[in-house]
Amino acid sequence: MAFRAAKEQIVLAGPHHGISVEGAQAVAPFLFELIPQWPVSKPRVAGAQGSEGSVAPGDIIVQNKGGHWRISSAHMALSDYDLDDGYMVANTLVGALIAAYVAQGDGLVSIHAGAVRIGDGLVLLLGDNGAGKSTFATLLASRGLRFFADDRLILDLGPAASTAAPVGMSLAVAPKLRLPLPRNADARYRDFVAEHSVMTWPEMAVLRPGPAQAAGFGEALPVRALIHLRRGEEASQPVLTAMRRPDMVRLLLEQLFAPHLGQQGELSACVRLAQAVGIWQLRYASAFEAADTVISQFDGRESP
Amino acid sequence: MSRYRRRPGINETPVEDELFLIAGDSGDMFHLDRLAMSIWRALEEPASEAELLLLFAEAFPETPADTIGRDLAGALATLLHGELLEVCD
Repeated sequence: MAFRAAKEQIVLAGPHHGISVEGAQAVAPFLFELIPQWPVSKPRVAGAQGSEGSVAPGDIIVQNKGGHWRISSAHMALSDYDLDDGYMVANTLVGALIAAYVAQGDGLVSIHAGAVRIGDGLVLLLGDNGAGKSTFATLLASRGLRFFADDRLILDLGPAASTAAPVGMSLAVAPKLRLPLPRNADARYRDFVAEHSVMTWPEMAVLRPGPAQAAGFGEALPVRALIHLRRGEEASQPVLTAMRRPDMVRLLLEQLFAPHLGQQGELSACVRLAQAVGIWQLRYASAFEAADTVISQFDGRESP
Repeated sequence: MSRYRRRPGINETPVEDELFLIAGDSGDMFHLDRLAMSIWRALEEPASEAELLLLFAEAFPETPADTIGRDLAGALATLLHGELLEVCD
């Protein structure tokens, strides 16, 4: 068996052991803008017979063919040379890293959600792409709430029989915003975005809020509420209402990611999450009008 | 008239008054609303569509029979299409 030299791998910390990535050197500058705090780990040595400095094959393989990239991993479906710029490769790689991270922990799952601290716990913002998760999460951060995620968060569900609220953990993934900002974005928000932007394209900005505004890697808090963001022009006023639990489970089945648990395990995780915390639906037209509704609903209140 | 029964090897997860099912062989997941769940519950023992119609008509006497029949036929078709039920005779 041929082992690759350690220098060809980037190894990032997992909950139990390092997650090795092969072939990502070319996109490393983008990668570490997106996950600036993810600790780098030592390569795993491949058994007692391996020569000095040799490491086990990568958990995640990044390959380039004629300028097109693909990423393969045991924990994520293979992309098929359909990635053609460094940022997209790095962003997809972050998804593969998160999948590999949660696969190491029994009660760990990842969820497609924004998250901010309000009061004594996390409020998660759920919704399809375009629902406003990133805008909402960064807007709330600009109002002084602690930012945990705009798109991807780790959840620790604890032991299978636990009915306690799951714990949300930040990986300090840099938030991304579509540009231009909404026309009704206020000066405070525009200033926040401008101050914390580290990469910008005509259509997108990557932010890096400071430690005073955003959770660091591994910072964790119990989840206290889930909000399904439903953006639509018909909502003249933001309306926050309790949501039916079966409807939240259906939504979570689309947003929670834990292939290592299998279908039944994913369903059980969704049900546990929906039963352990408050579940809400927010119909709104503008995040800049709805932010105060969310803050006033949860701020200063203890979790049930 | 055909009688229906639940296919074996399907795992149930209730959430309040609705039900999520996972087919053991395919891993496919299904969400049953209240009507589909009621049919699923009723088919703990095999039954024909006519027997189910009678059962639901007794349970919901205020609902017109043709409405129950239409809803029942639709829900049965969905359950059969999802291969959650099978014809047993």
